[in-house]
Amino acid sequence: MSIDATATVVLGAVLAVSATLIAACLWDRARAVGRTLLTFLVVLLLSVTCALQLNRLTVAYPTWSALVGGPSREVALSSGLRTRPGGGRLLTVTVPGRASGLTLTMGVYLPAAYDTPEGAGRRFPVIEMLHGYPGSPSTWVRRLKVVQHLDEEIIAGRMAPAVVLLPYQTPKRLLDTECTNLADGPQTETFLTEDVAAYAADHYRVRTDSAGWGLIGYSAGGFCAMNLALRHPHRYAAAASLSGDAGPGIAVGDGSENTTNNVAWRLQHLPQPPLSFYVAWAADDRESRDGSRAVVRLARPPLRVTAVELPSGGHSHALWRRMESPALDWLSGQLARSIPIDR
Amino acid sequence: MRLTGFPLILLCGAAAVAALVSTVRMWSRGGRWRPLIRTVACVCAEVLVVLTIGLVVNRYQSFYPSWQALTGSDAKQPIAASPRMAGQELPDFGSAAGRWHLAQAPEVSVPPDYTARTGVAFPLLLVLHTAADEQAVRAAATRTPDVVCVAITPAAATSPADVQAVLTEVRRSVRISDHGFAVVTDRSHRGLADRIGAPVTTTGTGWPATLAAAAGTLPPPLAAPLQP
Repeated sequence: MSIDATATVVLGAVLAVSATLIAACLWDRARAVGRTLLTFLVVLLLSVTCALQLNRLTVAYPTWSALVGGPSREVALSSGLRTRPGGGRLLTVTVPGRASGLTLTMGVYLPAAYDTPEGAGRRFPVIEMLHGYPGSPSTWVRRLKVVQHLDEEIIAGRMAPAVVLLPYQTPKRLLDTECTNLADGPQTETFLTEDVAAYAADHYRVRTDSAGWGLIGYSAGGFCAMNLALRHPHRYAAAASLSGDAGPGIAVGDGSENTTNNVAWRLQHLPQPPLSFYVAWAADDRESRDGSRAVVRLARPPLRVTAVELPSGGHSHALWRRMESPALDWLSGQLARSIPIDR
Repeated sequence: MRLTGFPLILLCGAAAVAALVSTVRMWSRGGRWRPLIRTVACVCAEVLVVLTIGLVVNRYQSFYPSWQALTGSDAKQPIAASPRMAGQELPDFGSAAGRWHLAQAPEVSVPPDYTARTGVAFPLLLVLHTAADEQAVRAAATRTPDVVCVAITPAAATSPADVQAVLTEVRRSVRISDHGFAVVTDRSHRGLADRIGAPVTTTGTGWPATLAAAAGTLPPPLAAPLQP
């Protein structure tokens, strides 16, 4: 039984109710210590059930083993995933971060065209997908059904075949890095922009120029996508934010959350690079609405922004499932095509 | 009652408090049904406490701002934008050179499978060349895959506005994508190309290689995207 299965949560609830029943039956016969233990058991099981449900929503811990291990060695992201005819395949790799010092698991989606004889002679564009907080690459796979969406869009011709990378954005599951280099902490920005790119170039047939690289993220990942693109315009051509905010909402440790690691501040105070942004949000999600609107308001050429405001949907997976295919189509339209390998 | 409203939170909170008080008051009552009554009362209190906490968190984080968002009943499926069905027949600019102050009429080249790929829009490659290069550009354009090439022979009086007017006319009748536009020029037209407002490539190693390289910087032809 997987950690994020509905049955697991139901089992937790049944155990919590059972513990309550046992406590009710034994209460009169138990002494103070016994009653304390019974109460503790009930509260513990109730808390665990709530935690399981929260984890089911976020997939911060995709497996039972993830409870004790870090995001450096994770089981296959594709476990339980059905491959569709004409669809791509999902690999799970470990990226040794030579520049950042981080070693983290990453999902790699290879489109069906990658494995064809024609594709064998080509370099493909790359999309980096950034998850929210709390979350993991598994959130894209299990909650947002990203492989299904990618397959559908590519098969329909609305999206070009692309190599899609799903890296972790934190070395500790409950540490929110917002894809920044934390002062005296993990150098996640370096990992995402240098180590991941170097790994992809070394192991896959991908374009290495900025015209062929794009970012997409939901929630905190949406901020990450915009912030990393602005900070590294030599590496990316476009970024798509789904319910992302204009600021990181954490303390980076050097005050840069209010300056160079703040999308709104960068747009106000620094020259804007020639990038393309897709900024999508739901009007009833106050925080990302205000942040996204600020980004749209502050953007100036050569930065180009496509804004999409949906009337409702909140800050939820249902909303992002609805947004992701249109955002992927848009992103694909911004990235350079695959090219012959000798070019 | 709104999902994120205070009334619902207060109601749930009050119900949780009432359930806790009732649990305490009924703890020693009920005779032989006492374990069952205790269990039901405790479970009710547990559920209401968790629910109240959840509502408070949801109010401030806007995860599910409405009942519709919670149930997913407002999650409409994305729909495909209307595909561009026009552009099956290419425009013939024939004797229209003078209209745009050009030395020769513009020439539009499309990929061999253009007609078969109904509903697909292609990126645009604008080529500025001299009359002497007409044949070479035409040959290179037909060999460049997955782009629409518009070859123009500017005259001294040709302005960027003239070039944009040509492109507007081409866009009316040829399936050209909104994204993906590059200019390839010979050295003599570099000044004009720079004022058009697109990435510019200057030919150096011959037209076929330059056009192929410029096409490589453009997105591929794509069908109409989904709209959220």
